[in-house]
Amino acid sequence: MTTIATTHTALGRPSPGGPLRTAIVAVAVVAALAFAATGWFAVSWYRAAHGKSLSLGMDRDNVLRDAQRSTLTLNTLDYRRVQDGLNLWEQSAAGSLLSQLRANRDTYVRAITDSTAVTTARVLDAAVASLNPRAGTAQALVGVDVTSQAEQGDPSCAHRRVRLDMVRVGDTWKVGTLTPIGDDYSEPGPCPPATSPK
Amino acid sequence: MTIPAAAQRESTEEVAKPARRVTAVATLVALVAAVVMAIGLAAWFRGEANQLTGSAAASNEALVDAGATAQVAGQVREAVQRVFSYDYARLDDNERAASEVITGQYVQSFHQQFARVRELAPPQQAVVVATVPALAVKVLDGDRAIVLVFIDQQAHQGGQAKPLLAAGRVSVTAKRVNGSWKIADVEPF
Repeated sequence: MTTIATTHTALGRPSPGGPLRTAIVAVAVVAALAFAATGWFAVSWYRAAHGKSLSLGMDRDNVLRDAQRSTLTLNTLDYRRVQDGLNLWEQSAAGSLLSQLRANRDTYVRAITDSTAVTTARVLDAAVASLNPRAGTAQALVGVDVTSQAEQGDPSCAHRRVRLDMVRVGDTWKVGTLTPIGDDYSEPGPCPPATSPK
Repeated sequence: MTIPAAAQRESTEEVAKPARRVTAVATLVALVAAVVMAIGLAAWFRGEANQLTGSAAASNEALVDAGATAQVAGQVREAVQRVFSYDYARLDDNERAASEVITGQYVQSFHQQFARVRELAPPQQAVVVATVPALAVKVLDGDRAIVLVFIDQQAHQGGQAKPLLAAGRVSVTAKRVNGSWKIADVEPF
């Protein structure tokens, strides 16, 4: 009985480690606040990462990037490495453009080899016109300048306007159809060099 | 019974004091560690959240806000057609109509260009009709937008049956003024 009573008194006594206890309480409060903040930021991270608008925005920017890259590829060709070039074309294409490239490959190889032309492209600007992430389809507009240099002869520059129907294949976007908007505007000489990158 | 009990009590108190102290210190250390961990995690989560919401992909509302994007596209299309069309017989009307859809630094450059049209169009009896075969809103950020516009101009000249065709690519900066989108800059590319 005495023992228990004494022990109780000892437990109830605030004196052992008075400042220590105060410190524990203070740190416990800080810990609670810190965990609350952690929870808050965890939720805001989750919401930012899983919000519909962010994923749409990221899809849009991926379409733009892949549309620019594909446009460069599909306007670049060296008649001396025509097979490599056409392989790259096929890697950028999907759907009907891919079938068309495969079906007419031999014709293209002959035409390109005969042209003895080397083309280099530069995308000046591009934008995504529409996007349907659920269907995995999008449309992009691209302005591209293509310098064409034949073995014999002077270079020329074509200013092109194209609309690309993009199709999502895995985690990249490829060109399903490529539609020129109006005729190319061509002029003699190589295309002007980049002035201000966009 | 009493004597051993008292002795026991003595020893319990002697031992209890340092033991409780050790426990308290351990608790304190654990709590401090928890605080450090929580602050570290909070900072990490906050950094990740800010990186996502502050990224270019997040601040650009183009296509994300479908309604606003369609509004920009429609009004910029209309404004571009108005600004790049003219009829030598109705130049005052044309200039006035165009003035309603331009703003900022483009006001001055438009009027400078239109002064040139006033010189050239009447002797040629030129009628120019601009159309927009395609456009896309590239950036939409609050009251500012950047729109990629493909523009066709069909120029009919007096005495010539065949119209001249001009195809252009321009990047239009648009600003929303009192609820409607106006052209603030036009840059051919």
